[in-house]
Amino acid sequence: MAEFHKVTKADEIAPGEVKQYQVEGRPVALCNVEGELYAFEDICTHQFTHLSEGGLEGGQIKCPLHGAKFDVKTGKALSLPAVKPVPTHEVKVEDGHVYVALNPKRVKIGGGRGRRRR
Amino acid sequence: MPEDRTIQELGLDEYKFGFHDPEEYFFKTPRKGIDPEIVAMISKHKNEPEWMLEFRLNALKSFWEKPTPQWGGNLNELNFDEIYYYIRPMENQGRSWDDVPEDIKNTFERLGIPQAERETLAGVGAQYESEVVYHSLKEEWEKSGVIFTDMDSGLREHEDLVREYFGTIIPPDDNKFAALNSAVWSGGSFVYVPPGVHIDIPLQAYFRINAENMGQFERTLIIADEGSYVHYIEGCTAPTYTTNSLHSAVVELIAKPNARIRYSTIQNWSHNTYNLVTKRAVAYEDATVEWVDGNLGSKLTMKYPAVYLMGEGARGEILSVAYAGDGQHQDAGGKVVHAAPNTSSLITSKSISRGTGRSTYRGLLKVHEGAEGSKSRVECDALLLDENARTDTYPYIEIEEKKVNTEHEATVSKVGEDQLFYLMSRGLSEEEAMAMVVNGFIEPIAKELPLEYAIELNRLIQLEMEGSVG
Amino acid sequence: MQQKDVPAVLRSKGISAEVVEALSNLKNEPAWLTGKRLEAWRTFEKTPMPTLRDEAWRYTDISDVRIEDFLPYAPSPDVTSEGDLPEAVQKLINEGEENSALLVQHNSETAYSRVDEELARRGVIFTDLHTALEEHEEIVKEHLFKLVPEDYDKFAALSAAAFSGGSFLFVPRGVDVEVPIQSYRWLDVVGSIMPRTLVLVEEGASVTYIDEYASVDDEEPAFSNGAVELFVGEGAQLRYVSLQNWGRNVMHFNTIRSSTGKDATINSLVVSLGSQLSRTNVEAGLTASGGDSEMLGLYFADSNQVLDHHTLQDHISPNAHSDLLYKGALRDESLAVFSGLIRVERGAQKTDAYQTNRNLILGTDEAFAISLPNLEIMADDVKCSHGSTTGQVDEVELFYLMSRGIPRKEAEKLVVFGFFGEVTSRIPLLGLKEKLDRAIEGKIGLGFEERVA
Repeated sequence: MAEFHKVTKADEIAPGEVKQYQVEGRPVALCNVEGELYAFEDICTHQFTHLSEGGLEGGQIKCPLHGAKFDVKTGKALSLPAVKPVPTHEVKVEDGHVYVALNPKRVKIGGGRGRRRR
Repeated sequence: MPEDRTIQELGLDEYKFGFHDPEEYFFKTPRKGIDPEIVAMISKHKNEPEWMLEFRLNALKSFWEKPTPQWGGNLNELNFDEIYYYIRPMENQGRSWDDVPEDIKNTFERLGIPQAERETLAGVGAQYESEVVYHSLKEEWEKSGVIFTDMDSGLREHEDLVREYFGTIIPPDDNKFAALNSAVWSGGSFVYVPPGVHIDIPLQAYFRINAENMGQFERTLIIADEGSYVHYIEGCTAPTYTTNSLHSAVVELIAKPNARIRYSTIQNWSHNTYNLVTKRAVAYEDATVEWVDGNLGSKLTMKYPAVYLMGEGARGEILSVAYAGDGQHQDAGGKVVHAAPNTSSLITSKSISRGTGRSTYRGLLKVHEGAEGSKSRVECDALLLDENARTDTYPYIEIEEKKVNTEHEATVSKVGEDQLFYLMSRGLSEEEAMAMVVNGFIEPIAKELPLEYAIELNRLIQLEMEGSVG
Repeated sequence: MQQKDVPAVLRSKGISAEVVEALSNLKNEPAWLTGKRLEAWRTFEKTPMPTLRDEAWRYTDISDVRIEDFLPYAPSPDVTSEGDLPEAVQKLINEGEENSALLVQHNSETAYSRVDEELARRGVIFTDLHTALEEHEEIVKEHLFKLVPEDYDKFAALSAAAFSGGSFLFVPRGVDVEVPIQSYRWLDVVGSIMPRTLVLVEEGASVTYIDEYASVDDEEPAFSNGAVELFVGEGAQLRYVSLQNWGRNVMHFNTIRSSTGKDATINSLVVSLGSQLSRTNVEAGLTASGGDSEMLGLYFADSNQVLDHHTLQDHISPNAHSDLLYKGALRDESLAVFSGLIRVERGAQKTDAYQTNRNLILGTDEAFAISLPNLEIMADDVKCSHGSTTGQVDEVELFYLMSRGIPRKEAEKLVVFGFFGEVTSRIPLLGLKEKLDRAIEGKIGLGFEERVA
C-alpha cells in the first residue's frame, strides 16, 4: 500500500496552474488540468531542470530548457529531446487536501537519486 | 481562438500597424533586426496557414527568452539587430535550368559546381537568397510518390504531412538558434519517400548567401517511410563579405522502420559567417541514419548532428570532418542517444587546425536504461598544422545500461616530418606534400561522398592550404 | 583536548566568521593566518553552492549538503603511544604499509604523531599543520594555499577558512625516504573533519606518502573537506596515495593539486571506496620541463554511492609527460563520474599526454556511469590521446575461465580483479595492494545475490 503524504490544500492550484512542492526531499510538480490534479517528479528526464518552471498547455508540460513535452497524466515523453517518461505520482484529494503517493521510480540524471539513507 | 490571442497579444492585428497591403509594406521597408512584425510579414507573404504563424511567433518569444550560449564558440560579436531576416529575390521559381537567370548561373559557374550537377544530377533544388529559384524533379520519382520540393511549397501542397512532423524532432525551444530559425525560416527542402521506394541518385540542393548581412534560415524536413532509402546532399558555398552574417538552419530527419537516410553536407561559408545549425534525426526499428558532415568555411560553426535511436536494431553513423584555418573556429561533433535495445552507432571525427584556427569536437553518447546490447564507438583524430593552432575534444559519455559496449578514442598529432620528407623526396613541393598528407587524413570521409563531391572537398582543402607553408 | 576546553562557539553546529576566528585563536595562529582564514570565509560566503546547473557539477547533486548542519570542530583525547589509539585505527595501521613516520588525526585534532629518529636526523619534518606553523612558519607561509587557493572553489574556500589538524611533510634536498610515511584521518563523531596536507619534496629527494581516510559508520551525515598541496622539486620524486574509505554517512570533498620542478616525477593514486558522496579534484601541474606525472585512480561504487573524480593534466611547460589511468566498477544504484582534461598550454611543445578511463558495470541496470575525457590542445608538436570504455564483464573471458573448471562466481571475481589489476600492478606497495584487494573483494561480496555479470 503506497504511503500518501499531505501536500497542500486542494484549492491552492487553479486550473492550468503547476507548482512545485517538496515531498520526502523530492521535488514534486502538482498541476491542475481542467479541474483534475496530477503529480509527477519535477525533473526533466533529458537534462536537469524543474519542469514546473516550464509551461503547462492542456495536459502537457513543456520543459523550460529544451522544449521537451510530457503527458502529465502518464508521464510519457511526447517530443524530443526527452525520450524517457517522467515518473508520475498517485494523487488523491480528501477533506480539501491533496495527498501524493510517491512513485519509487526516480529520474535518473545523476543527481537527486536519494542518496540519503532513511 | 489561441491563434488570434497570440497575434493580438503581440499587437499584430493589421489595423494597428496599418499594413493593409503587407506585400507592399514589406518591399518598401526591408529592414534589419527581428520583431513580431517581421515574422508576421514573412508568414503573410508566404500565405501560410494560421498555425504556422502561431508557431513562428511562439518561437520568437522563445528566441528572446533564451540566453546566448556561453559554451562552444564566441558569439559575443554576433549582433542580432544587424541582420536581415528575410529578403525575397525578384526571381520567381524557375521551372528548368534555362529559366534560371544568367547572373545566378554565373555565380554557380564561378564556383565550379554546375558541370557535375548538370551531368549527374537528376533533381536540383538550388536556394538563392532565401528562396528556391530553381527546382526540377525526375518524373519517375513523382510517379512513385516521392516529394522533393522546397519547404515553402511543401507546406502549401502537403500541409497535413508537414504539420504532423514539423518541429517535432527539434522543438522551437530546443535552443536559441532553433528558436530563431523556427521564427523566420524560409526555404530549405521537404522530402517524403514512400514505403519501399529507393532513390538511387542523391537529391541535391545548393544553398548560398549572396546579399550582404543577409541571414539564411532554411528548414529541411525529410521523412523516409518504411523500408525506403534516400541520400540527400546539401552543399554550401558562399562568396566572401566584410561584415558578419548568420546562417542558422534546422534539419529534421525521420527514418521509419527499415528505412535509411544519408544526409551529406559540405559547408564552405565565407569566413565571416556564423554557422549555427541544429540537425537531428530519429531512427526507428532497424532504420539507419547517416550524417556525413564537412565543415570548411565560416567564422564559427556550431553544429552537432544527432541521431536518436528509438527502435530496436536502429543504427546511427556520423562522419565529421572539419578544417579550421586562420581565425576560424569549427565547433562540431555529433550526438547519439541509444533509447532502444541492440542499437549501434559510430562517430568518426577528423579535424585539421591551421594558423590560428581552432577545431573542437563536442559530442554526446548516451545509453538509456533498457537499451541493452547497444554498441557504440567514437573516434576522434585531430591534426595540427601550426604551433598557434588549437584543438579540443569534449565528449560526454553517459551510460545507464550495463549490457553495453562503448568505446571512445581520440588522438592528436602534427604532420610528421618524416611523412613530408618522404613525399618531398618523391619530387613534391612542401605545399603539395602537406596537402597530400591532409587529403590522406580526411580520406575516410571523402570516400563516403559521391565522387564529384569528394573531388570538390579535396579541391577546397587544397585551396585552403595555399600559402600554408613557409 | 577535552570537550570542555573547546570554545563554546566551536561546539555548536554551523560555521561563521566567529567560528573561524575562534578556531584561529584556539590554535594560537599568527595574525596573517587569521586574516587569511577570514578572507577565505568571505569568499566562501559569497560563492554560491554548486548545483546541477553548473557544468562542473552537472551530474553530482549536492543540494542536500548543508554546511550549517555540521559541528565545525570535534576534539579528540590526547594519546601518548600507538597502543592508546582507538582499536580500529590500530587495525588500519597494522594492515597498512610499514611506515617510517606516522600521524593520526582523530576528528579535528592530531591524536598522535611519530617520526623515525633516523628520518628526523636527516632533516625530514612531519607534523600537523598547527605545529608546523609554530616551528616552521616561514616555509609553511610560503607554500600554504598556493596550490589550492581559497578561490579555487567553494569547498577550497571553506578549507582555507576552517581547516584543522592536517599534516606537513618536508623532505630536504637529496634525502631518499625509503619507507612510506602515513597519515590517517579518523572520524568517530557526527561532525566534520577538515584536514589539509602540505608536502614539500626538495630537489633530488624522494618519498612515498599515504593519506588514508576512515571512520565509524554512522546514520547521521558527516562532512569531510580536504585540500592537498604537493610541491615536487627539481629531479625529486613523490608518490602520493589518497585512500578514501569513509563510512557511508560521510560526504567527502577533496582537492589534490601538485606542481613539478624540472625533471620531477609525481605518481599519484586516488582510491575512492567509501563515503556516501565523494568529490575529488586531482590536478597535476606540469610546471617545468621534463616533469612526469602518473595519475592512477581506482573506484568502486555500490549501493547508492556517488563517486565523482575530476582530473586535470595541465601541461604548462614543454617536454613533460603525463599518463592517467582511472578505472572504476559500479553496481547497485550507484553513480560514478569521471571528468578528465588534458590541457596543453600554448608553447608546451613536445608534450606527451595520455588519459584512459574504463568503467565496469556489474550486475545491475540501475548504475549510472559518466565519462568525460576532454582535451584542449594549444601546441602542435605533441602526442596526446585519450580513451574511454564502459561495459560489462566479458562473457568470453568468463567462459574461458569456467572452461578451466573455475565456478562462475569465482570466475566473475577473477575478472573484476583482473580489471583493477591494470591499476594495482602499477603500485609498488605490497601492503597497500593487499588492502585494496581485500576492499575490492568486500565490495564484490557485499550482499551480492545476483551474478556479477
